[in-house]
Amino acid sequence: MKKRGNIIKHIVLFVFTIATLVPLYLIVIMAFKPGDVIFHGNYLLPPLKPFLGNFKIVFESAPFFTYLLNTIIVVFGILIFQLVLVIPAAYAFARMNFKGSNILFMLYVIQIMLPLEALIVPNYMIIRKLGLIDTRISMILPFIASGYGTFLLRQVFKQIPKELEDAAIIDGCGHLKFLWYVLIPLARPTIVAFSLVSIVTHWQDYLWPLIVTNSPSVRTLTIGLGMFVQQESGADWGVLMAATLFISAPVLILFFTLQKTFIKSFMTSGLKG
Amino acid sequence: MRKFFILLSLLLVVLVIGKVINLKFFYPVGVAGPLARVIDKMVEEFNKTHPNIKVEPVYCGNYDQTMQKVQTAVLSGNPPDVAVIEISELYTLINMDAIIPLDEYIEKEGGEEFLKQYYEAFLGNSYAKGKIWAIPFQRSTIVFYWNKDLFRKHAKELEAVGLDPNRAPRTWYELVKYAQILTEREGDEVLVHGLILPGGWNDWIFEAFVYQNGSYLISRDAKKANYNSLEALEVLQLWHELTNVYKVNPPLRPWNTTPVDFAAGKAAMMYYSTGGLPLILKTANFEVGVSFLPMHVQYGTPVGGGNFFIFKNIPKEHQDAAWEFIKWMTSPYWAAYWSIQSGYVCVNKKGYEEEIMKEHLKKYPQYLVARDQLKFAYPKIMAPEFQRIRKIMVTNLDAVMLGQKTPKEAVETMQREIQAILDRYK
Amino acid sequence: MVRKYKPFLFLLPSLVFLILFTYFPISYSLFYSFHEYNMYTRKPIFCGLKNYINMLHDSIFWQVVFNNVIYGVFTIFPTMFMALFLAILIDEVSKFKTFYQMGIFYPTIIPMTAAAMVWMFMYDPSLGIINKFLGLLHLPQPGWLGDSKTSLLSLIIMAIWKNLGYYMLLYLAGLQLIPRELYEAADIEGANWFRKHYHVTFPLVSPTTLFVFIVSIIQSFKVFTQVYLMTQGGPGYSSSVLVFYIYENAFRYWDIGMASALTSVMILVLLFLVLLVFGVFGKRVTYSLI
Repeated sequence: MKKRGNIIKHIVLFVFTIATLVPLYLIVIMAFKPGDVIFHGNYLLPPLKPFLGNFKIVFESAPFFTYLLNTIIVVFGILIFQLVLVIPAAYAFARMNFKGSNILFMLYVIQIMLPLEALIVPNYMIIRKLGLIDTRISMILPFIASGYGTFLLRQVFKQIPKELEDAAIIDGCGHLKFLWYVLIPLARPTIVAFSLVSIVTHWQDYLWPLIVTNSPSVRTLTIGLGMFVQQESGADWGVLMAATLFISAPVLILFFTLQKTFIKSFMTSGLKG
Repeated sequence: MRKFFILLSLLLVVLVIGKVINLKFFYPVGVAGPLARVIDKMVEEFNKTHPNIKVEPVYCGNYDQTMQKVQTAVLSGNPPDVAVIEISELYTLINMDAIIPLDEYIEKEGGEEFLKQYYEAFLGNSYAKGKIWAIPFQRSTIVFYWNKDLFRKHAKELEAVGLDPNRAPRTWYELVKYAQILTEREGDEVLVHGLILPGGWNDWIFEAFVYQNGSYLISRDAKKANYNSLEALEVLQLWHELTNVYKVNPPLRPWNTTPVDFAAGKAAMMYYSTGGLPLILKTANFEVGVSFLPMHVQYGTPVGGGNFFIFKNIPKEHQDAAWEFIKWMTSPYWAAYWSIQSGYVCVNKKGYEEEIMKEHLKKYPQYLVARDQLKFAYPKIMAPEFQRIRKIMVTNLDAVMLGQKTPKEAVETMQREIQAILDRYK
Repeated sequence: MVRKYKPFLFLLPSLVFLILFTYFPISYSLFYSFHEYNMYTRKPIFCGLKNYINMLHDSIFWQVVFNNVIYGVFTIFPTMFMALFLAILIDEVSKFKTFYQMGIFYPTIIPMTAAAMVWMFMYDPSLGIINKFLGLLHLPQPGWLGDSKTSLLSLIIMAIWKNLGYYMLLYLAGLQLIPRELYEAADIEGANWFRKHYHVTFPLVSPTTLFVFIVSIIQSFKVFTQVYLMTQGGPGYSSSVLVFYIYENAFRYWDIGMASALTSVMILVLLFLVLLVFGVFGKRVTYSLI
């Protein structure tokens, strides 16, 4: 009886998983098939001889390696600044007592509920006033004060027992040393989790880079792909899928190599008790 | 002493090299095809032959996206130096105080004589408020594409009703009849559509039909909207019938995938920009026919495409350099080169005498159709806030195609809303 | 002396950017929403509530709001229930867990732009795999992205695909906290699978449900990339959402006044909704989040 139930569960899960995998499957096999083959409807089976011509066209048409470099700079720039800003702030909220701590913290929490998408117009005006239009830094700055990161890390920092802190004080440790040598190593899983979430999130940024950048020299992968579509749209799905595969590959590779870490990170990214 | 001279010569070298003028060039690609690469190549050639000017081409997407980028750039105080922008945006650009008139530059080149090298039909969209503002670059007309193989396939049925399978329909009446015969069905499903009237730029195609019916949509001075004329209503009625009654036209095939469908043999006839020709010739495995748009009261097509504009609020030497760039890009050889690569009409009359063009036309005489249709061409509608007007048009045309609005409701709405916008600028 | 200000030193960098890119923009939006500032006026001119009045009379605005609501409702609830369902299943099986998790979660990792590309292909009315599949089953083949009746639905389906895995993982985490004894007790009482989970699991994962709910609401307001790339809000305005409409007003028509008014409304609605959900359901939840 139990075994039959088990098999049903596996079947259901299997069907869902396979269905969800279909788009990825399509991206991968179509990237290696010439456009006219796809055109005549033969795209379901994997190609016997992978066709590399699509990638050649992709790199000849637009500087996708530049886009890759820019995306990496922006995404890691955001992450580094986030950590630098958020860790001290989380520490202050978690372990320091000061007036107005709760009110100030609310400011960070409210920010979680206001995605940048809601504020593109005024943020655009501000970046313009700062003269930072069409720069990589403009794609980094609005994201670095992460309310979400502050919240998450505050949660984790709060859980460190007071005894450790007392011991550190006895040892003559100041705030910074305590933070650097004790808290951060202990909070590593959460910091890793936050970092992975941040990377995945900002790798996908589209709207903001769309409005603050114009030149190909600072363009990111997602914008590059979007523009690429306009040119080749309809003409060559093989080329388009090759470009799509290219922009997804880095995060997908990261995902496959760090599977367990990824899954754990996203599982714990919820704001529980 | 020697050190001094070395320093001096270095300084001179730096001054000379430093004199390189950097121009930001925003441009769109308006049809399917890898044209950004062609532009890059042309710009590279220009930069090589003009060592004191360096043009940086910035591909901005399609016409709408490019206009949005230009608007944002200008209104943020960061205009590009030169750009190719869709021709209907002239009034918007003037109202934004974004561009400079080109009268002086043209005078210096010989005035009217200089302008004679360009086709008049294309210059029509350059004039406003008594001045000339733009030079044509990637210009097109709508042309009629037809699949000769499919026509021959249905030869018997066509001849049975007195139609010639070896030529394209000449009138609206014939258009309907050909489309009905050429549509292949299997039960309820349409395997091959007789005709595709694409979405995306259906406002442009709508204009063509209205002109063929002897009317206009917006007056030349951009003051009066004329959408609720009987002629416009008839056009929309025809479109409605083709799509929802005879069902020979699929509602709203996207602009970019329409030539793909046609080249795949999924439609026998199609209205599309001449700019789609290279792609179609490359991917179709049938004989491709290109003709004038079918007439009703008269033959007619609006011109389309993008013009070169030079911007205000940039240094004078940038503007001068931009003018050099424009002259070069529209010179006979390069205009011909661009035309061959892109399918757009060569804007420079002398371009048709270039060797590369003659070679090309021998192989693909279809490229001449758009040029020959120029005698029936007229300027495209221009108006301020054209982005908004275009959106209103497309929204209402789409609604009719999808059967959600009657043609009467659509033209009334368009008239009301568009006249309201035009009134703001009186 | 330094002691007193130390907390603020730690806070200062992040606070500066928080104010600069979140709170200052909010007031900026509010300020400009009371001004007429567009291509026509060139400089902001105070106009009181005019933008808001125009907005309320704008049928497109209401259409867009309606779309956002429909989108929200039809992505949040199905995704939530499917995510919980799948999480329970994965929790209960012993083999292939990682395979299932990876296979269902990967869409969250893929950039939205990439997802838009492949789904545009899948939705293609003639070439795409979805219609080909429907054709095999002799079912009607809709126009998907090109048909105003199905354009929003197309985006909804894609959104469910993209977010399902993430919420599933969150539920999986929540499930670990349920004491096994409770299930054993339910088994002893003879409860079948459905009743067991309805009475035990569902209530006890409510903190996760609350979190998923709030995150989904925020996500549903952020929608832009897929609309921009796949439908441009069309046909007509059938798939236009608030952020896209704001983008159009600001960057296509350069109507900063109206865009600011729309932004202000959006912020208010967002905050209101989140606080509402939190206020109503937060009490039911057995944790205090702060």
